[in-house]
Amino acid sequence: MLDKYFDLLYDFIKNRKWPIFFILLLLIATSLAGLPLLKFSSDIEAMLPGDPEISRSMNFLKNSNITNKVIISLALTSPEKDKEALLHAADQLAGSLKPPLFTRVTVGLTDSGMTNDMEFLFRNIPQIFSERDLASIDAQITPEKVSAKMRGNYLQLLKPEGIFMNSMLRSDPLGFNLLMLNKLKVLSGSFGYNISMEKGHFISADGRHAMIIAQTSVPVTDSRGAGELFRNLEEQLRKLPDYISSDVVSGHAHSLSNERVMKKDVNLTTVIAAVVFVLLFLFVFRDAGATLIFLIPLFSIFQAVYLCYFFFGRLSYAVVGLSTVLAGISVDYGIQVYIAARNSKDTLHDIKRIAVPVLIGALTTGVVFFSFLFSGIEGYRQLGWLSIFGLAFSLVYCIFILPHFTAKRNTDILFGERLENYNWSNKYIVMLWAMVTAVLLFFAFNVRFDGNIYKIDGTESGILQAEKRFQEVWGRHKTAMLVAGGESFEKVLEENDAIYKEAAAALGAEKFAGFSMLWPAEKTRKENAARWKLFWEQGREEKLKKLIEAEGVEYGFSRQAFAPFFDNLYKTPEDNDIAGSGFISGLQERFLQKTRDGYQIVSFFPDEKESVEAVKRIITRHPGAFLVSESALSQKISGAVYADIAKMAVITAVLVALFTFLYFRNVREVIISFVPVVTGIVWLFGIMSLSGISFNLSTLITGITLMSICVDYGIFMVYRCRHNLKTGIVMGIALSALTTIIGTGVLIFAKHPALFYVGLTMTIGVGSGYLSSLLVVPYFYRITMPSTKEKERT
Amino acid sequence: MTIRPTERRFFAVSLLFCCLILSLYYIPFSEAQENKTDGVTDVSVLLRRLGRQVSDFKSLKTDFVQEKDLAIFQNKIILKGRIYLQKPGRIAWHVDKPVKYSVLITDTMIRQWDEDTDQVQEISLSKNPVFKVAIGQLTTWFNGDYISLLDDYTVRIRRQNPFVLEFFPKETNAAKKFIKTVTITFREDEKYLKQIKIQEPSGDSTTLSFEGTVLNAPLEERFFKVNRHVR
Repeated sequence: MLDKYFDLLYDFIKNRKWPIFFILLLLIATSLAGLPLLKFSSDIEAMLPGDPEISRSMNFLKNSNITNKVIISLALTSPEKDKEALLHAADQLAGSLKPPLFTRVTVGLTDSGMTNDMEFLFRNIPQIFSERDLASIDAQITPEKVSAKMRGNYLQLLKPEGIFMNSMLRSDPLGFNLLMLNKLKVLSGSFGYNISMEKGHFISADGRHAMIIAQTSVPVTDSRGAGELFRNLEEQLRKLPDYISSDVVSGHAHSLSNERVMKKDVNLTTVIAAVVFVLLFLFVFRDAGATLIFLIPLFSIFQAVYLCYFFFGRLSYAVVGLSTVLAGISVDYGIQVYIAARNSKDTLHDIKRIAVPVLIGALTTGVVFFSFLFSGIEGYRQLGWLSIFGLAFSLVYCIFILPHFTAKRNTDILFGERLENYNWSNKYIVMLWAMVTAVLLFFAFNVRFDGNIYKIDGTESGILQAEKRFQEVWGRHKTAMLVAGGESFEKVLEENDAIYKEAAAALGAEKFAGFSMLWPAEKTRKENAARWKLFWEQGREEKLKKLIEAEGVEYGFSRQAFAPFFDNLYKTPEDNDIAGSGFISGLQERFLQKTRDGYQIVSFFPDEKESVEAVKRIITRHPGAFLVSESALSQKISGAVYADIAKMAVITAVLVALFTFLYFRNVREVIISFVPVVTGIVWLFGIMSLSGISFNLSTLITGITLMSICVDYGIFMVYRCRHNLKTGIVMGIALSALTTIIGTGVLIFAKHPALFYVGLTMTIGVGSGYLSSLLVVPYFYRITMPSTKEKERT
Repeated sequence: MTIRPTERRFFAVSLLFCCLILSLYYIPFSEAQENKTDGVTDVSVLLRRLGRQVSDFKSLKTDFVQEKDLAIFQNKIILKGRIYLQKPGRIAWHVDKPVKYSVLITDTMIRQWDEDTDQVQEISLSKNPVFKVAIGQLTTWFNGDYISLLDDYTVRIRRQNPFVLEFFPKETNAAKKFIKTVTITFREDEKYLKQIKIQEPSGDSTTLSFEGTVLNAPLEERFFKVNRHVR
């Protein structure tokens, strides 16, 4: 029955080929014209796993005001120019960075603002100081320590700066402000930079660099927005004087660079591959009509893009870019059909014959992309649907349209007869293959696995060098973040206080920068204030007074020398509003975030394994809190992606084997048809191991596709052996392999590492798979299967 | 018409009297005018002139006496020592009595030693805003860049010959918390300062008097070392 419908459809198209052709041409022209109107997403999140932890971290990084910053380092390059010129340039640039792209630009902090902030904190010491701080103070109320303090105060007052220390020392004889400064030092250290302040500007230790921090409304994952942002910034940077150079550090630069590099690579490789393909087809087939073989997959992809857009909405740029791999795969069907139709005397019969292995091949490839539909990554699911639609269109066009436009030729295809008739496969070749495969198998077990996703980061070297220079000037410590959220500001502060207490105990207060050390929740502040009052009322006030009197007399201190301290010991400041004008507002901005649902407080600690593990244990007791760590996120993403790929690989392997079996219904033939798959994988891993190249995320994904391509070669060769066909299958496989290797092999010259590894994997895998299909499969078939004649008899 | 002698005399006396009255009126008026024009423009001109004169040196060495009249102490404290100044940005402050200590001040840090601990301590100004404000002020007064003080201070001429200027910190000046006024007395030859008196809001005061000041004297490098006491 299928035969009957096949014949009907074939004849229908044959009798109306030109109207159908023009309709298709119109469809294709409309698709091309409409492509610029389609909107694609440049958000890289589509290519990340949909794991809740990863999504939460990515959402936080996208929306937080920590990562949406562009940091500019200006350097004074002329020795004749002084710091004033540098500061002037910083002010000039800062003034030119305006909304809506740049929402806030900071060049530094004012001295008066900082002094006000310090005073606010000192006034509120009773509310801020914790039990631990009081223990530290208690240890100082001894004759020896007080004596040392009095001596220190005396000397301080005699020194030049003593003019300005008088009132402070009277209010703070024991130096509580130092304890406060230490807390601020820890908090400021969470910024990770070594910054000095000069005339209200951030200045480097060498005094030759100024820093500008510009906040932007563009999320880090929006590469289109990042493009606009950087165009604007570069325009302003060009207006700076010649004696000022600049380095820019920003997450946006990375996403932009990756997209730029990938687009350049894809454009270049597409052009090279297209030219080579056309020349190849013209040179080998010596028929201009052969260009249809190349055009069909391209047009199929366009139509698949439209279909997906209609059903699913925006597609990711990255997905559309990856779909070009599909073009390389589906061109194989056109090659096989073209060869069969070109020299055929009975086109319908020959096309029906070749349609079966072509269909099986398409199904095995389709199975790979079907497995993508089970992926946890949205981008892979999109790629799965796009590829399935593309393959279906390609298949239909190749089988039902292409034969009608293939001119009959009496001339041979170049090398076609030689390839078809020569017996390439004998026992010596097979022995050689077995030895090489065994050796490479041995090395394949030693291939290194690199789970670091930064291995396939395509950031341009210029950006990485700028970051290196920036770190050399300003220093940078990698920090991880602990985020606590809540509906109300006070609830979040309370949660944060509890977390801070545990984290400070586990990591050490100097390593964990939490806002609670500066301003805890109101409940905690009241507890602190009550504890402070009790602390002094329990006799310590009297004890300290006596000690100061006794030890201070030696230095000439008056009886009322430190009266301001004791007079204010139990005073509650009226001003309780922490909103500062200097660096406290900067600290607040770093530690506090307002979200749609409430508030988030961020704490910082070193992004080291031990610290991350300790914080993970703390988080288990605080369900609303989560960790954001570059190293942990990278590991999580790698783990999720590899788990995803493993799942897809298993589904692919099972379904490919099933389809192959359903077609051949013979276990031996199925095993033989898998020889190119095994060869491709073993040789790939073996050669990588010998070359010291580690396999990674990119290799794994490509490896799944490699499986389906190599099994197609095995299926075609087994099919040819089974039916003893001389219809150009060998030539077809050769051309398929060649076009795939050309199409992906050019990626070895790509600058983006992800594309490079795709090129490497496909070149080695497809090349070795093809060779084994030509040199090994026929021999195995001959020695393991009954002769064809015997099979026909049975 | 003829004017009789008595009438002439009366007229002359009246005229003289009127002139006297007028002159008395005009003198204060002209003084006031002068003072009025001595307002902002004149003060800045004066400061510029004085600043130019006072800062017209590359190096300086001087003895000093510092009197500290602070409520924190029972009695007035008197310090004696020496100051060495090398432009563009080094000031060494050595105290001999009542304690021995030395301080080296630069743009970015201070390094200090005292006999008591016999240790050298280095403090970064960028990380200590109070120190930064304090040292910044001192450096400006010593260096003579008085015109720059107009941004942060209101200035009043208290006396002339020699000039005595009073500086009042403006509201935006971070030093306002520590300083009520700074009174600078210039030498009669206006080549340098004679005295700086700093009055704090609490009433405490510190007076720094310079003696035996030598401008552009060759300074040895050891004067700027603080790892041991320098004589």
